Amino acid sequence: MTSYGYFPGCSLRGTGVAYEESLLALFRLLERPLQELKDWNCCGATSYMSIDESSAAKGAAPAWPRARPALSDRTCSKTTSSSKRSKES
Amino acid sequence: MQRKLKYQREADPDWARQVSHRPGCEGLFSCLQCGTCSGACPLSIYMDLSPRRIAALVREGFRRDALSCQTIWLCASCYSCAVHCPRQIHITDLMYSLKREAMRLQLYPRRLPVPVLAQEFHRMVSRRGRSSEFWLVLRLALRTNPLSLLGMVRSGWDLVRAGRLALKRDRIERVDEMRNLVEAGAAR
Repeated sequence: MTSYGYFPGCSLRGTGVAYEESLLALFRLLERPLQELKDWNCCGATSYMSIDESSAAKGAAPAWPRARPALSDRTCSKTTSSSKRSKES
Repeated sequence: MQRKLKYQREADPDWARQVSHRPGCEGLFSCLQCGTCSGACPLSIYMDLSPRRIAALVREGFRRDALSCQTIWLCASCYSCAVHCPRQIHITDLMYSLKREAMRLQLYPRRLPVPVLAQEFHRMVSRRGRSSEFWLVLRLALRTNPLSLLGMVRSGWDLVRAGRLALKRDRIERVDEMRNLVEAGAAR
């Protein structure tokens, strides 16, 4: 069965925890397990952008490749498809 | 009393040209001053200068006025202005560009908590890889208005009880690795 890589972000561990609960419940119901990326880091949000633009871009990027070994071959991720698309265009 | 008149000799047209070469700010000189951005902005009623005025000030090169205003820090980056702009100017990118310059030159308004929040967020994420809201709010309050914590106790306690405010300070395992990547080729 295909499982999906999943990046919660700091918000879903804080005040947005209700969204994580409903999301995980929904995917359990759909029988498509979500696999949390291993050791993900903060995406930087808008506050990081206000200080340093290039660090913000570089900080958002490693959230995916650093987590890659944690995912199995059969794991799909929205991140890969979107990054491929941006390379093509 | 603040002087409202502006003198041409205080303007720095070179700076305006520099800004217009930054990524996202290219459309600056094609601004029509139509005010659609100010009309579309949900926060413009709270701003000291409307987004249209910011564009006008930057275009003329009034650097200090554009960098020390509250407007750029009140921008919630909803992109409504950029979507509605008839000249497709990326006004939000311009705001961010001004924010970073104001931060670098220490020109941000001192009484506003937003720049401090950005600093504290940056500090926390650089050190720990993630932000933890409780500690972020705590540090923000201690640096701006410690007494405001008293007013937050009630809602904070309610959030904790609902499981929506983690008291733990989150930290990723490989912070060094993230820091290396973020700082790679940094030219600041």
